[in-house]
Amino acid sequence: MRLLAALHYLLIDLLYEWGRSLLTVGSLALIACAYLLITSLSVAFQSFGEQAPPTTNLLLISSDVLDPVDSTLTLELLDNLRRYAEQAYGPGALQAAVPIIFRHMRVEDSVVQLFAVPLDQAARLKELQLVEGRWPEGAHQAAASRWLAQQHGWQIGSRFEVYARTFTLTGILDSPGRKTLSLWMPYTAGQEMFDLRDKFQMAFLRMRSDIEPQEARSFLEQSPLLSDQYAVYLEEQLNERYTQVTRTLLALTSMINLVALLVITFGAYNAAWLTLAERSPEIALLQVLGFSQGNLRALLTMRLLLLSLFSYVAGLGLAAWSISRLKNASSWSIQGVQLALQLPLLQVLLGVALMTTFCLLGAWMSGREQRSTELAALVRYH
Amino acid sequence: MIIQARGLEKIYRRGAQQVAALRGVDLDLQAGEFAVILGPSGGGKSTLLHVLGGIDRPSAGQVRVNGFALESASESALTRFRRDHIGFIFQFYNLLPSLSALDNVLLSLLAKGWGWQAARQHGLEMLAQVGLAHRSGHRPAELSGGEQQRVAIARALSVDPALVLADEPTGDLDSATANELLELMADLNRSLGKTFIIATHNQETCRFATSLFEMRDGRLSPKGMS
Ligand SMILES: Nc1ncnc2c1ncn2[C@@H]1O[C@H](COP(=O)(O)OP(=O)(O)O)[C@@H](O)[C@H]1O
Ligand SMILES: [Mg+2]
Repeated sequence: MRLLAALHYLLIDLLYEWGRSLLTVGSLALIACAYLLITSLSVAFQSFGEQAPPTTNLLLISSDVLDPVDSTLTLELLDNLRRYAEQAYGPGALQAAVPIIFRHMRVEDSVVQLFAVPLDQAARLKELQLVEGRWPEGAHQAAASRWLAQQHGWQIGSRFEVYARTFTLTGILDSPGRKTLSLWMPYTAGQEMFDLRDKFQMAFLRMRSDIEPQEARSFLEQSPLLSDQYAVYLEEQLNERYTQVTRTLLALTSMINLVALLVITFGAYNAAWLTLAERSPEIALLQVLGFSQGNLRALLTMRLLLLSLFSYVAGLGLAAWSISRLKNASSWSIQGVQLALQLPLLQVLLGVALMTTFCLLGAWMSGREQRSTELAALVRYH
Repeated sequence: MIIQARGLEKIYRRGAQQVAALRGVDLDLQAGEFAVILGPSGGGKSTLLHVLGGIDRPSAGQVRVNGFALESASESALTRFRRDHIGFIFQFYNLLPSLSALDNVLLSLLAKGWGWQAARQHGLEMLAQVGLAHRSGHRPAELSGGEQQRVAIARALSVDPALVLADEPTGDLDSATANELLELMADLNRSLGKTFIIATHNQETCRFATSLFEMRDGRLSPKGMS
């Protein structure tokens, strides 16, 4: 039978059974939507997990906190650490100890990492690069990461509110590696805004270059000054852990994806099979009329494909809609790192290809079942 | 000779029990006949039509239909045989409920590889021949029992088969409608020269027969015309 005629009749038939078709397509569309959203998330994680460049920085932070925001350090502690390091390694052993005031802040509907740091020192340690404008000064100026500026369409001189205070953008920064949404201001601006005397959340430490970073880390960790109240990490190790987590997530999402596609095909297969079982007299009639097993299998396959594709397209629409809603409602970020949700064409097509393969497999398997039915017995119960 | 059958046997196994539905059936039929097989329910009429139409295989014996040896044909050869040589009309469930009358007729043509336009044209002509041109777009549920059987006749004849096999075509109809339908088939038999075999327990059918048989306990015997 000609392809178009077959399509025509399959469509008529799906419409005739519109209740079941709708139910099938609807439920499978939800799964397809879940598949696409998970895909989109895993793609976002991929960019999220891009490696930050290696550094030998050490990060000092309270040891019992989940979120760095809850960490508290003092200038006195840094002073004591400096003296402690000099006792062991001689003068200048602790080259730099940079206090960081750190907050997650809502800025124009994005969750942003806010850093208040002595900018000249931080720039050296974090390898922050000013790509536009100049460093902020005073209590009402800030610099934004490139991603943050892009997201809000900010330019040098743009004004925005942070913590009920108006800031002017003086610079745009590029911090290699992650696509963070971050805002940088002078340390004194942060002190003033949050009314802090000498308390802050984290500190970057850098030991003299002749001291091995690992050695420096364990030396500092063993200091009685820190006891088990504070912890020292190698910034690199933190990044490494981050990447690990991301990799695990990616593996997990691709497994979930495969399962979702299988469920779609299985659902379509199940629906088609139910139809087949219920309609054995009609199928027998087609066989009597001279439709070969091959014809019937082709029809079943096309039916499966149609149901799956309708579901997939409906799911795609639903996913695209959800993503645009999510994007409008709030930007998704994890600790200020922007998750750019999107549906890459490649992944969408990959889903179609996999689903088609599964459909063909399913139809092939059911084709073998069909052959064993006895035509004469079916015709008799007309 | 369009049909030559010799010593046809059909044995069904029902668990340990065996049922002989055909017990040595011989049949010779000329092309163009309007043959009627009468007989009580359970006599083996349906079984014989299924064997003649390539839906079922005999347990023993030979059968040639339009020169085609059915007892030794492969499964796919039987399918092609049905498609190219036979038109079937059953008592019920002749039509796909989701499709219009015209589309039901088209199925047979499309199975045979007709193009869409030509098939439509021809399907409409066939529906006109059975007096249903005006109902071509209606689904079976919107047609009366007699109209549904007319659609089945149109479909059976659309592929220009050598042989039309009708199993209790009027079994579900009131006698007036049944008569109209039989008249239509007899007309088509005369005007198109098509061979018909009608299996029925409806005595009225004999009036139209050009040859008459009786089937009882799996045995077929010619019956004198009265
Ligand atoms: N699939 C089957 N299994 C067992 N017995 C069957 C089967 N089909 C038909 N029969 C038996 O074969 C005999 C002939 O049946 P059938 O050909 O339907 O007769 P008719 O059409 O004259 O009523 C009956 O006794 C029936 O019960
Ligand atoms: Mg019968």
